[in-house]
Amino acid sequence: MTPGLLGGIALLATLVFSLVGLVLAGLALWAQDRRYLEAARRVAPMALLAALTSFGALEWALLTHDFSVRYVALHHSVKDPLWVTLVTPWAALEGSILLWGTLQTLYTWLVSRRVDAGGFKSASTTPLLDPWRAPVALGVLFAIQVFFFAVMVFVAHPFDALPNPPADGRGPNPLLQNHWMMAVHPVLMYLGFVGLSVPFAYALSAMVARRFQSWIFETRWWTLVAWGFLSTAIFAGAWWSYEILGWGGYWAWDPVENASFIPWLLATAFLHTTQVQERRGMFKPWNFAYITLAFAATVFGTFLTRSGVIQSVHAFADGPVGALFLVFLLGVLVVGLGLLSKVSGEVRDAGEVRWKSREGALLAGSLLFGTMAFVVVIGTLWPLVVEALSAAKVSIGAPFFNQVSAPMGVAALLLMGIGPVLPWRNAGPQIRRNLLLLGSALLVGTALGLLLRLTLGVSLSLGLLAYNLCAVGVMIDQGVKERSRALGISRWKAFLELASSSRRRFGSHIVHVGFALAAVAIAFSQTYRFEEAKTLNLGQSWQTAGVELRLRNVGVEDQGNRQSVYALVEMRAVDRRGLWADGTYTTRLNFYPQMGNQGLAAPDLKYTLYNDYYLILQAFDTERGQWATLKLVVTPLVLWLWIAGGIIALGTLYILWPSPQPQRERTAGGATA
Amino acid sequence: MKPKHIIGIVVVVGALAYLIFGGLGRNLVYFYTPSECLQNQATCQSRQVRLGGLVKAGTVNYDKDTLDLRFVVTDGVSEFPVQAKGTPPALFGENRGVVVEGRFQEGTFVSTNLLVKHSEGYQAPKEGYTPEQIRKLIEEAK
Repeated sequence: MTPGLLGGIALLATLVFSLVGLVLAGLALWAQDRRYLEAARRVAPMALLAALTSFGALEWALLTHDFSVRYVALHHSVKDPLWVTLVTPWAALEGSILLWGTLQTLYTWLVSRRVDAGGFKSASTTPLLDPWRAPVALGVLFAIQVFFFAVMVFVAHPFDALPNPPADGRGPNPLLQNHWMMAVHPVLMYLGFVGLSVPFAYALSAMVARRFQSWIFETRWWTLVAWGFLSTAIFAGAWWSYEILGWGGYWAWDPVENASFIPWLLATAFLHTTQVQERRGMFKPWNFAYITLAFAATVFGTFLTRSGVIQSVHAFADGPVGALFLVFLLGVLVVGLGLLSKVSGEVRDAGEVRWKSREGALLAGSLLFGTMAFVVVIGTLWPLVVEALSAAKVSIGAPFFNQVSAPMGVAALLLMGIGPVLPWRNAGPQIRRNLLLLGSALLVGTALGLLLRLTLGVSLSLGLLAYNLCAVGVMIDQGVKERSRALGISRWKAFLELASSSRRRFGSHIVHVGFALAAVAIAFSQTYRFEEAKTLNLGQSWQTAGVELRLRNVGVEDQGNRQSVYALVEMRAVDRRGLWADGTYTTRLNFYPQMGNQGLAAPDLKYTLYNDYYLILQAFDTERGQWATLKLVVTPLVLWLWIAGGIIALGTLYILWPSPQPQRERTAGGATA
Repeated sequence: MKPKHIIGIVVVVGALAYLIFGGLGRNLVYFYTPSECLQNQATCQSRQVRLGGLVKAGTVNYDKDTLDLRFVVTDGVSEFPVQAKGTPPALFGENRGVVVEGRFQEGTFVSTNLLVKHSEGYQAPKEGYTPEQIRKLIEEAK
């Protein structure tokens, strides 16, 4: 048995199992017979096992350097370090679809364990999927699986054989082996993308079975998990690009960055409107629409990356796969929105929304995120539209996205503070004091920034951080007071009890503060970035931006799979602007055989709580190593962006962390905490 | 719906439409070859554009100490002098496809961003190529 053969068989088996599961789920729905449902449920783990075998076979082929497999020959080399070999499955098109499909089988299996097929007992208190909805939910997930595995079996086969295997392959794209984030960012992204398929499947089943309410509770955990993975993946990707792309930035509004941002925006909108449906039974149509669009957006992202329609650093080769994803995307939209239009007459909201209430703020927030998603879609596709209409070739730069997203970001940050402070249903005069407090925090923060001679935008970001911190303080203070009075316990004890019982509320406070902090970091780093390049001879020094640099050495190291040219630079601060810059920097240009004389920059950077000092080697004396061209980028407060990302991840984790006892939602004081 | 709600919605939607479509119009960067640039002088000479063509042989002049890079971009019919700042990318060279983004200043194209065709298998076109062939070649350079 060769890895190629095993992988091919396992791949086919996964496709067959998925098809069987789909047919059984369909029969269960049509005949209303629980035996079919039970059978469909049992197919899910088999599909998972087959998919895992297939994925394992690809790893096996890579680890044993089996170059008779085309994928291995094209994307692997015997010189690759072990960790690079292990992550090579998602370094190119076929393998990345395999990873995606395998994760899908895992999620389908997890959902299948929630199916109540009669006689099936679960120890968990989470409600089970009833037999009216289960066939649809499972059927949808199996259908998604059928799509992914059919694409692999018929179009992008990861185990295609090579008749004349070479002695060694090319290795993965050097850009992907330059940093360990390759092992993290793509997997997180796929976990997030695939995670959205579960609430989508539940939503479709809710519409088919006309049970419009319970799916919101049941998918709460799933949505938040998917959202958490997406958020972390986006931050991780931004940090990765900051570390290695060698331009000292972290977000370029590249079409594929946008493609990951769109599902995140729609999932965020969904996350917020579900709160209202949970609490007040409203916004049901919104929730169905948002989850359909969010899931469709994940497919849209894949379509953009895999089709070659749009050029980007992330783009894989073009080919028929893109067209298939486009068809799948249309299918998702037609089914989701079609079902919604069919049941829209029955999906009634239980009451009316007032803008000056918690649900009003949540609706406004979700509309804002939805609009932002729309803007990003338009901005990404606009060049194609113009090209189709006028034959002119155009591009849309980052300035467009920055101009539109800045006011929307400010609006979102404003809503984030005020929304949770507003009571449900209708805000009375009692909140006036809180609003006054929030308003003054905003003003004081902004004024402080202006006094420090910061730009208006940056000052505003500081004001918004103060405003959001104040909002969280007000809410916690109120909840703690009420609880300590009601139960006659100390404030401190009341706080601890609240923090452990109202995890969702406290976790969302943490996440919100994380975003306000991220906004400050973005405002500072975008506004006060400094960059300059200079060619230095050995021993020569260069004073700029509050630091003095001296070129000490230029040399080359053989690192097996690459030649690494380095420049050794000493940097020291000469005034306050260069705070904490002191140190020795080794900035590199790595040369991979498959890239010829094109070097890949591996910048050296020093993170500080104030400025980041980012040093890039751009060119060097190839003959005698006597000079090097260096570029220095000094950006303030970037580190806080990564800290904010960590805070957001921790806040999400805090909500998800299983409680020792069942969550008590309406304990005293919890309603306003 | 009360009239004041309708007015509110119209104002919000109007502001958004202005923000989005106005922004799209202002930030659209056109791509031209030198010949197309001559045909569309009004746009090409007055706003931010992308100019694509080949680096004309014998015109490259780079000073590593001032980081000034000068060359002529051509499509075989028309040509323009280009001025850029910074180390040229590794794949930059004579007869290679290049896309520069920037504006014209007194007849010279001042580039703020320089992109080169990303392929080692690249071959310089033979004599007598047409601007269309060049354009196709350059489009891949993005």
